Amino acid sequence: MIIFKRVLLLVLALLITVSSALAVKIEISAPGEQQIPLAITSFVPMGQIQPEIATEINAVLDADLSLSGLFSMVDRASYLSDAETLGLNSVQVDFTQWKLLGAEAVVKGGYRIEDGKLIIEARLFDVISRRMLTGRRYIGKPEEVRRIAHTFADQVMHSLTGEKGPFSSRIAYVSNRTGKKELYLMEVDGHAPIRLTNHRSIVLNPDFSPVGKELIFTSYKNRNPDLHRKEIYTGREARVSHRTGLNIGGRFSPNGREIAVTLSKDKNSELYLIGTDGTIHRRLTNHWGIDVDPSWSPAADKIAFVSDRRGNPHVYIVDVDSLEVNRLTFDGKYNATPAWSPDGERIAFSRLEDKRFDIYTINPDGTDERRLTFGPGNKEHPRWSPDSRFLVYSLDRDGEKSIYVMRADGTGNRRISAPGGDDSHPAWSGRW
Amino acid sequence: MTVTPPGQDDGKTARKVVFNFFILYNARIFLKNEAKRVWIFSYRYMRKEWLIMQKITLTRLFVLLALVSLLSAGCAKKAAQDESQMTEGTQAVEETQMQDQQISAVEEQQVSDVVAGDTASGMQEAVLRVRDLSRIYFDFDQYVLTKTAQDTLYANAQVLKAAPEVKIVVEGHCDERGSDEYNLALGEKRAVATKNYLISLGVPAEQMGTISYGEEVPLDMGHSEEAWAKNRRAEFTLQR
Repeated sequence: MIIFKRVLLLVLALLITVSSALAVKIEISAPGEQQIPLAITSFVPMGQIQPEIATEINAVLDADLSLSGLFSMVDRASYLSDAETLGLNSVQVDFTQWKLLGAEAVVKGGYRIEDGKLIIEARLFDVISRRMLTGRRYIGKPEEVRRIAHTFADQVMHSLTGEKGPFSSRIAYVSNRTGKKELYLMEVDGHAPIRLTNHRSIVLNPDFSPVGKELIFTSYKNRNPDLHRKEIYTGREARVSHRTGLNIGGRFSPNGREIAVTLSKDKNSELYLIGTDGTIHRRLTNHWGIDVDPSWSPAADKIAFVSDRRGNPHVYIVDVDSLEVNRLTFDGKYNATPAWSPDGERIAFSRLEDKRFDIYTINPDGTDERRLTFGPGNKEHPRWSPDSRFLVYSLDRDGEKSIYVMRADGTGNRRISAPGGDDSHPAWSGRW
Repeated sequence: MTVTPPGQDDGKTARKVVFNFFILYNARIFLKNEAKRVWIFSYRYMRKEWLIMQKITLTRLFVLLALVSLLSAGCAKKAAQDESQMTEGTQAVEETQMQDQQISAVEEQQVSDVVAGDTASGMQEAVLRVRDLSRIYFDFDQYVLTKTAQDTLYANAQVLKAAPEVKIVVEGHCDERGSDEYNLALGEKRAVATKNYLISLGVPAEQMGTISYGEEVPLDMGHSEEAWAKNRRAEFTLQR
């Protein structure tokens, strides 16, 4: 269950610098706005033909770049002859053909296997200005095709928006496929799921450390909801907090040195700040109501959380220094699972409306509330991607729980967890 | 390596023997011819020691067995003696009472001896009754005890007070709606409210632990109002 593919030979050679063609930073704010017609060609073999490699690259780029929201896809059936020719620089590409098809950007590339290593050349061309926007040569192992393709998709987003995409990161989640709820890890497109724990009890609510490859989560392994930690590569586990009562909803602070958690050791659920060794640093709330579900602001000065101090569960914000509490949500009768975006601009949460949970986002000052999800099923536990442009969430519909991703504006909803189990409580890692 | 005389031996020698044997046995692969002869010699030596040690162990076993049988025989005799003394004692008391108080009739009850076997069945009975403690139910998003719940808890309190040696856990549960985290906290509140009410009815606090399972362990896997009502509960299990 431990990923060993972190070899130096890894992916990512850099090379081929870009003529920094940087367009204006494109905000993915509404569907259809400023979408660039993109053609993704099959990568051409530069040596031995291995169609599986080309197919994989294509599938990954297609999925990632269509999720990005930056592009509209040009119909592959209409591609002309240039799609099959290897074009690694702007001189080698027949841009007229692409202009005819209405494409404004083209992804081309090639691959070859040399001495057991996989080498992939990937290019993004601007059809209008007839030049290369970004290019990379990746050297890695043949089984790392998907990873390389994800990295290039991140790079494409970077060249157009100034910020790398999140496609190389990971999503942790809880699944009951073994009959018990255990902790799993998968890639952003749902591939390569791995089970991380074997607690044979109930595992809940994971959170990634921002500094190490580590997760904290709640587990009933020792017959009490305790806060556990697990190092992903070494597999080492330990209990961080196992006080009487609840030790739930652990969330790492942005610098990874503290954990916000709900403890009920004093006979009431309150928020505390504890160190990574479990010692209590501070108590944040002091109210007879329930206080749970913390989410840090990226500046680490405030924490959003859920409290029923006014009767119904609503989202509040507590200032970490002054301990002043302000109410964030006023609409609806039940607001929960807040998640503060990494860029600090928005807070996502779920609201129970008409007997169903949907996901909303709101500014931290309480203005500009927007509903993101519609349709049947309960959508809860939203978590942001590291670039704050996407959300992953739990969908509970027709008795089955699954995990979906979407753009921050609510479009592009797609399922990433495989059917045939109950998958929930997703958490999005930082840059992997 | 010396041969320790019998009586002064302890488990150490056994371990030493095995350990050294293990080392030499494996070392023999690397030993040259002369060394091999040394190994064979030592092997024989150690084997002798091992046999002596075995004899010691066997002797010890026999001695132990003999002692154990003697002791148990002694115990049996002792128990018999105690019992006969007891019956004599009670008889003496009865006679005195008859002589002294002839006006008011003293209530006499035969008291039987408490032996290990009886306690076990008494404990089992208490455990069984505790297993029958009834669940109580809650309204949506509430941890307040309804009148029905309070009545059920009154009955449960009697059962618990009658079996103070049996420790239980009060579990708080919720239906599947709502945030998982919030439901864990709500389940905790339900468990604690239940426990506090039982304390107010006289059940000792040390007899009860609490735990919340939130919405994680539903009784009814359905998604209807009826299913949800069954899942919003507090229930009682034995502490392990």
